[in-house]
Amino acid sequence: MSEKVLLVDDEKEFLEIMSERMQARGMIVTTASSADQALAIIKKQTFDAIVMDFQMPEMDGMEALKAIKTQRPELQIILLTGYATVEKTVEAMKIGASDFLEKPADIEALAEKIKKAKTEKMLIVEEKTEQKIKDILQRFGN
Amino acid sequence: MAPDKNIETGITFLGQILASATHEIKNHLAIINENAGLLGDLSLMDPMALAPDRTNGISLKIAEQVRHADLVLKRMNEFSHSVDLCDQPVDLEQTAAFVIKFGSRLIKMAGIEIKLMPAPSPLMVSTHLFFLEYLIWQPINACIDNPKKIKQLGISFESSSSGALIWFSAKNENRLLNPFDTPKNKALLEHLGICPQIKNNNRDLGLLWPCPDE
Repeated sequence: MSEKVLLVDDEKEFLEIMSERMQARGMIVTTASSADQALAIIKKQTFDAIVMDFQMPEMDGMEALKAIKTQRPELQIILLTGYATVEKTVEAMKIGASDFLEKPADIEALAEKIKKAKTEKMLIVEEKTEQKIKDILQRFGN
Repeated sequence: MAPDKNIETGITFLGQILASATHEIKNHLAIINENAGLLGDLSLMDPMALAPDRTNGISLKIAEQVRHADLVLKRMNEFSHSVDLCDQPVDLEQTAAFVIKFGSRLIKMAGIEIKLMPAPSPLMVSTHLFFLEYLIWQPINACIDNPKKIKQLGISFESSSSGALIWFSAKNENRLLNPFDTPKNKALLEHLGICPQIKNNNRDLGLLWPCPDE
């Protein structure tokens, strides 16, 4: 099944071409040109992965990452970055980024990371569902 | 001012500005990379989609990105050479315009608007160009560090009997935190013979190059 991806970048041209290339690889892509727009979209839609530029005007990658993880903890976020320092990478991973990719990105490497993110998300959702079933069964005394 | 303090101040500034410029170049390279990739995709997946107008459109986009990246590199080169220019006459307005252009990515990221008011006549001052760029960047950087408070910064020029002046004015209720009031910057201003100025209830910060006879 196709991966559903939210692509977030303030560079409109990058967004357009990357989205076309990802769609050509069978992905279903929604785009957002700011972190605020991305936050509004994830309130209404669900995704297998978010691919997000780390540095954007107004709300930077770290702030956006925190806000998305608070709203949707199960979402897998792959950060695109120009230059990632070790400190920033560690901080972002602690907050919940699932992966990093340096710009200019290799589309095949990105597609692999998105597939991996989808599998991880499905595992989290499965675990949550299992837990819910266990809780319900416990309530009924089984 | 001890020379090592000057070097320390300069290196920090150089690092911040060059890091931003290299990020800007990376963004242009990323778009060039995607355009090149798109050409590859189209030729492999759907050769019929490679109509001449589409190919031409992609090639124009690549050329445009190369032009933007080249502009950043030219500015980087000009900025690097500013280190060589000690005690040379420089145009205050032109230098401010250059600093704003070069720092435009950081300014845009913080969502700040800089309004550069033209000087009534060309204002030439004899100074060290690199440190002049550093000093002009300080109030802009103070806004970048505090983007929720200061959204708009005005830069204007004045020529008076006391000398040539550049003013930095916050355009809302909030006052600009005075970046010239630190021990390092005070020492640098003294070293360069520049007098810091304050007016309008601390809302306008200025730098004065006194006339040589004063």
